[in-house]
Amino acid sequence: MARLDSFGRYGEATLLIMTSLADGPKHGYAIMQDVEALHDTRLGPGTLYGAIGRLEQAGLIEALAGEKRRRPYRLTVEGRQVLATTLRDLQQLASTGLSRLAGQ
Amino acid sequence: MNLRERTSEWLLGLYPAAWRDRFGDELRELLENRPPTIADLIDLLLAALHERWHQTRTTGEPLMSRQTLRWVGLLGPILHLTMVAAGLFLGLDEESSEALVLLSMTPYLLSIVPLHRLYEQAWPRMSRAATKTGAAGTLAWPVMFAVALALDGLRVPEQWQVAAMGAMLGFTQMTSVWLVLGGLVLLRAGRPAPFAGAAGLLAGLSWLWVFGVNLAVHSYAPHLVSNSAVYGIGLAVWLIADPLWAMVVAAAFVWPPPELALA
Repeated sequence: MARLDSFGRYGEATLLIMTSLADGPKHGYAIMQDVEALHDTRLGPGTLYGAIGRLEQAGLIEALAGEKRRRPYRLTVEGRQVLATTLRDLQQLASTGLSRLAGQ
Repeated sequence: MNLRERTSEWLLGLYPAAWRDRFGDELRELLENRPPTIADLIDLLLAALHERWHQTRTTGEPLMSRQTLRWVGLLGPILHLTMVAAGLFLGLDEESSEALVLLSMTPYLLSIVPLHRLYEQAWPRMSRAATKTGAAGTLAWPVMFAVALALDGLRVPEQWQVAAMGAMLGFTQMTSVWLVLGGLVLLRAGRPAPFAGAAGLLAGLSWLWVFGVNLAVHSYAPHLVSNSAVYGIGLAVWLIADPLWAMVVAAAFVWPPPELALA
């Protein structure tokens, strides 16, 4: 199974994009706005489409039919599995970190 | 179209053609909805370079088009000469003048990318070694220069400053090796490359002498430097060979000899 940390420069952007697509298909501009609202992160246009390109190549997202200038993207079945695994790993890391902080 | 939109359109042109075909329209639509900030333009530039590098690594396609190669081959040496001339003749204070002349090596060394293509065609067995050597010298030059300047600004003990300058000179000798190799490569090729080759050899060897052996000995063992004329002769040869080399290399990219046609 693909791992998001294998996307190098686009690692963080791929996680944010996939999280944005978790509740349904969106086109590039909508993903960008959603990520800003979700995480207070402004994805640069080059980073956004670079990351979309890598995710598409890896088969984790796919483009839907639509206008060529506003093509929507959605998670594939494998993409949903990879996202779920990644988020569970992060959740576990976060809860471990928080409990250690609380124990000090 | 305002300046930022024009800049972003130009930046889109830096992406590989296949990438532009796939994502270009979507990216334009996005930039129409959200006019690019300066940070967005920098992001576009970095992502374009990243995509080019990714494409070269995964498909083996050239990093630059023939036209870009020629522009880089032409502009690198010209920018270098302009900075050297400004540093030497504009009557700047000594520190600014030295800094300008030293930094002028960076645009000059940009021409390593198109030169790599010449090496590949004229001397395939040497191309990798020549390019790696030049790239290492190119990267080391501004880094070590910055370290030397920072140490100077921090008022660290003088021996550390001398050590940093020594390291810079040592690293940049790789650049001289690249110039010498470049000269040898071009000597083997057709017109106008032999002239560039001879000038490159002269520039590389005098560069090795002026900024390498001579200054290192001067820094670490000043008692061994008995004749400053030796330094003067090396500098004079370099000042003649360097512009000659730059001009002829630039000409080789604008009017490449048939046997070195840039594919």
